This record gives sequence, C-alpha cells and structure tokens, in this order.
Amino acid sequence: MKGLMKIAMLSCKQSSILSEKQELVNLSIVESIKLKMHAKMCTASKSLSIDNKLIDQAVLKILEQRKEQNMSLTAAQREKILQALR
Amino acid sequence: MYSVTAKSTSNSHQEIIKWLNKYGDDMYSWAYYKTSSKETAEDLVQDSMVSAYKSFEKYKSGTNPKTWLYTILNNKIIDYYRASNTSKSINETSLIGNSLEGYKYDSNGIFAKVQDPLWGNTEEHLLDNSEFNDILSNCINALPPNWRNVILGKYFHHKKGSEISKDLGITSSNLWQMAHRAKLQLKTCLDQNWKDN
Ligand SMILES: [Zn+2]
Repeated sequence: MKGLMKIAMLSCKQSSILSEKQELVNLSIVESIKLKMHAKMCTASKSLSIDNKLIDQAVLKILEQRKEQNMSLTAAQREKILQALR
Repeated sequence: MYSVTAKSTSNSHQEIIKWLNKYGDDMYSWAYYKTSSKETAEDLVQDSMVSAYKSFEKYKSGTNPKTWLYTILNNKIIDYYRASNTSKSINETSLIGNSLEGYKYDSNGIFAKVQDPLWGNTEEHLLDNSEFNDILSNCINALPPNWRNVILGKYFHHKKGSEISKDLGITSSNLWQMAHRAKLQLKTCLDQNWKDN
C-alpha cells in the first residue's frame, strides 16, 4: 500500500515543476490529478506556491512598469551608431 | 554617373541620420521592452539602422519610415531570440541547484523541512516596496537570455505557451523546463539579495 501511494504521489520537486508546466502547456489528466492531490496534502508545497504567486505578481508589475518607461539613447550611444553608419 | 551615385548615397545617409534622431529613442525603448537588456537594445537599434542604410533602396518613399524601421527592428529582435537559444542552456541548468535555504529537497524530492512562505506572507508590503522591486528587476535582467525571453514572453507579452515556443524555436517541453528554471533562478537571486528587516 505504501509503495502504491508512493507511485500515486508526487514529490514536492515534481509538484513544483508541474505547477510551472501547467501555466504554459496543458497537463495530462493524471498529472493534473496528482498535482491537485499533492497541493491538498503538502503544507511545504503550499508555502512554495504562495511565494510563486507573489513572484508572478511582482514580475508582472515590474514588466508592466517597463512598458510605460520611455528610454533615450545617450549621446555616446548615438555617436556609436553614427560611427557604424559611416 | 559617379556623381549621381555619390549624391544618392549621401542623401540616404542624411535621411537615415534624420530617422535615427527622430525614431531612435522609440526604437531603443521598444527593443529594451522586448529584451530587458540595455546593451542588447542598443545593438539591435544599431544593427537595424545599418540594415536600413544598406537596403535603403527598398524603402518606398512616401510611406511611413517608422513602420519600415520597426519591421527591420522586429526582425532583428526575432533573430536575437532565436540566436539566444543555443546549447548553452544545459550548462546553465547545472549551475542552478536548489540553493534556496527554505526549500531544500531531500533525496526523495520531498521538502526536508516544512516552513512558512519566504516572501509570500508579506505580499502587499513587498509589491509596493521599491527596493524589492529593484532587486527583482535586476534579477530578471540577470537571467540567461533564453530564460529571460521565456519569462518576457509569458509575463510581458502575455503569450500562450505555443506562441512562445514558436517565437523562440524551441519545443514545448523545453519551454516549460526553461520557465521552471528561470523561476528557480529568480527565487535564488531574491533569496541572495533581498533581506527583509
Ligand atoms: Zn510538497
């Protein structure tokens, strides 16, 4: 029974990989059930997923701010490009 | 005959310089959004202007030069994305262990100790903390180019997984593995550089 459980259960490592995977590609039904089971039972992985969510939000926010940022070429950068155009 | 060529060359040269002055900053900003690297953005603008100069006869006068320049720039960006996906990723992978203090796996891949979230508990506070944001921003910039491109595709351009892998010329399993490693790297970087008081 214990052996069977082990096959059915994901390790924390596998679960963290699968939760990243599911954001980009579809999981198989088995993967998705295993992931849900692990998430229900494991407190450590719960902590990790809270951190992951925070990082997701922070990355999103930082990158959104970059969209609004206007950048200017410095005089030196401009000069370098002019040199290349000669 | 010679003078005509010389004249048109100098005209196109003047025109390109005019465009650089007019659109250079916008192109630079755009390239930076797309790559998160100032050096890369500068190189891409330069390459684009040089290409535009060399193929100046392909520009149809009367059309919007900005559109033409952006077409060239976007092609350069695509080339850059593709070129950044070399076999390098394997070496990079081996560099990234699970070095996060709080999240160490045992030999079975189970977390060795159960603990509270490292950052997540103070979520609202951290998202508004400019120091935290600066550190994370630098961590994003410090990612290997191909991993950074995966992160940018996902969070910045809000692309679907299939689109990102197409853009980067990688398989879907490569894609999510890179995304996972990039995330681990970001966490490691935060762990090493962010010390909450
Ligand atoms: Zn777990």
